[in-house]
Amino acid sequence: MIEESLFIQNLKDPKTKEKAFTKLLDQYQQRLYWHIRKIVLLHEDANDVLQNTFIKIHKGLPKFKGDSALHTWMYRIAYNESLSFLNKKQKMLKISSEELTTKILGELKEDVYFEGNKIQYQLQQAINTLPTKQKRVFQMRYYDELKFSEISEILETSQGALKASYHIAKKKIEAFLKQ
Amino acid sequence: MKKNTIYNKEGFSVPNGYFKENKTAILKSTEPTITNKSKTDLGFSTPNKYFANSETTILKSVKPSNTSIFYKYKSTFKYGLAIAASILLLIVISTNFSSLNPNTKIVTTLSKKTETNLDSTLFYKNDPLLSIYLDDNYSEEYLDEFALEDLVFSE
Repeated sequence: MIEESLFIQNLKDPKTKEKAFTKLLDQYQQRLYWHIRKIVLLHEDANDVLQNTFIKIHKGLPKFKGDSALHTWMYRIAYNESLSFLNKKQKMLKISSEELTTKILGELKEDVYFEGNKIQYQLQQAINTLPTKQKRVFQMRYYDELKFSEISEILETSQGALKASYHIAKKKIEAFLKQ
Repeated sequence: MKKNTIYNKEGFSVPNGYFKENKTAILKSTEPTITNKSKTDLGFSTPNKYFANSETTILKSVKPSNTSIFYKYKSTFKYGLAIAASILLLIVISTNFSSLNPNTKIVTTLSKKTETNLDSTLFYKNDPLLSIYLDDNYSEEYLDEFALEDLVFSE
């Protein structure tokens, strides 16, 4: 905790800011990339969102009060950026969210940076049949290995509700894959 | 040494390039767990050296020099905006004053009057057109007047 507050101080101090930001990028770039990638699915989109996320983090650091952990705050920015990206895409294409999911899943098959087999593709289909909140909880808990307390801060939902959503999501995915 | 003895005595062998591949596999397994999980479980991949390149791009885009340029010109921009607003205000005021100028008003009134005269003459002469605009209550009165003027007096 002391280490983190010192690190945050370094991030805010104009003299140490640049070095500290490079360290932050080293530590969290991959984690945030994979977090974003699971939401937007395509590499090119994830790349755009990742860059926007770090630009927002950089801009927002002077205002960061430390009410939540630094990484939770960054995950929240990444999460919001991803959702905003998908919303923009949906509006631009003038299609519903379901249609957008189908479109992205179709593009994922053709994506050179998707090397998954049939089962892995089916898993993506299964995850994408879930309602938004269940989908996000499942991804954050199962793949990002975030604690329910952290997910609760990111999604601004109670831990009890998240645990229930995660349980239901797991059951639905199992059922989908058994079909 | 013991290992070598086992290989030699028991006749164990390994595929070609095994140790090289094994080294890569071990190095891969030391990468962050989330990356591995995403790659193995989900089948996602990234271009070669993506994270190194991406880091450079991100650092370039948040370079402090860009920020300092913005702050350097921020005050200039503010003054520029104030001057532009003043000019705009002057234009608006002068336009309003010119509309209040007596000469302009006369010209406008005159032209309007001319327009009205033209219209009214046209209107007055055109009885069918006039009848459209007349209220029902006055139409009878108008017809009486028309009959008196045009039919009786013209005789």
